[in-house]
Amino acid sequence: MEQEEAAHEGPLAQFTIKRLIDLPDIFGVDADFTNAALFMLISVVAITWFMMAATRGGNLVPGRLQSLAEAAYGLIASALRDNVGPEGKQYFPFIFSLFMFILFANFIGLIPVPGSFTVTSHIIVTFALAFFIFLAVTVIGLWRHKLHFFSLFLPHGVPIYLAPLLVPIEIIGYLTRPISLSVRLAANMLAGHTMLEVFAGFVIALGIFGFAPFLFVVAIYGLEVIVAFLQAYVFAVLTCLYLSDAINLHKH
Amino acid sequence: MPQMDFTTYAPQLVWLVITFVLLYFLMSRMALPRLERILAVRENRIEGDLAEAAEFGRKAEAAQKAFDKVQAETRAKAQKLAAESRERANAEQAARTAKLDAQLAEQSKKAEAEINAARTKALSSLREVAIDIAQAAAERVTGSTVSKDAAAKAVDAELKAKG
Repeated sequence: MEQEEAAHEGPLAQFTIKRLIDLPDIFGVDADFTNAALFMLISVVAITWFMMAATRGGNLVPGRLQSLAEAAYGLIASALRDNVGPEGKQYFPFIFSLFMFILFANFIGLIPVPGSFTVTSHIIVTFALAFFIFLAVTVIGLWRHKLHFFSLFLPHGVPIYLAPLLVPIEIIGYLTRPISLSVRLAANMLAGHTMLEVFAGFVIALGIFGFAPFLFVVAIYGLEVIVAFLQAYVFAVLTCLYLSDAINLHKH
Repeated sequence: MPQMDFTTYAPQLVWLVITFVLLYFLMSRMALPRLERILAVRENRIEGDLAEAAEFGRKAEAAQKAFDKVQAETRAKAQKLAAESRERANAEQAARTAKLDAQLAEQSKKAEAEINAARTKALSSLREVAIDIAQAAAERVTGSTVSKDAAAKAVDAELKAKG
């Protein structure tokens, strides 16, 4: 570990996984409590605190916190309703948890304190989420439509002689969904945090002229806050779209 | 690049599963039902208030209608009453006028009769007076007595001659 950390000096050092607590393996799988696990747990605690505090009063006219919670609820509920329809309601808790998890992981990762870590900047985390969604959507689609589900790979109104060309493209598009979904989020986080780190380094290096990169860092930070929200939303909306394909096939 | 360190994948995945499943249950069992209850209460409240408002509106409309009806009825009744009393007053007036007219006519007839009687009486007494005057005048002029019959005859003849 010491050597690894030493190897990760520079703008990428912030992404280093540190083992905080050594735990026994679970069924032979390494389950050590790392800083990634800590920030996942912080996200879950923060989300739960936020949601419970927001709904404590149960006010008819919402306060600040309650308005935020209701806005988040409305955002995901309308995305699910618009894309999937009324049948998507049973998947709402999952999509909502997904959105909040990514949103809070992104935001907490942006808090500039020593040891700060962005869970979603690791491709393995985003890929695991995306791959689970891919598997779940495929299983839901096959379970609902049986073999008819494969008609998804032939777009409506396409001349049959184009099928040999289009079906492979559609299949490749379908199979690469978990990759595009996970890379979009992880790459955005990775790029934003790396850029912030690089320009923050210039602030020190340039001495008196450091104010120029400093202003740039402030501007980029604002952009990153927007990106943090937007990527969480995009992830949730795309999940809704994939779910819609599985539930409605082409009907929607 | 730390992201490419495969030895860190296993602990990250294990804790991702643990934390995400935990979050899913916290959201689906605790937080979301609470939020949904608040939203449902608000929706019910708004729906209830709207329904109540609509009910009040209907009631107000019904009251207005009833008021209009009563007003129209009252106005009709008042008009009828006014017309009746006017008719009655007219009739009374007419009756009184007729009675008065009859009374006046009777009175004037009686007065006329009285005048006629007085005139005939006066005319008849005029002949007596004329006879007396004729007799006295004849006596004064001739110095002889003239009989009443002769005077009466002469007056009658004169009266006849004068019409």
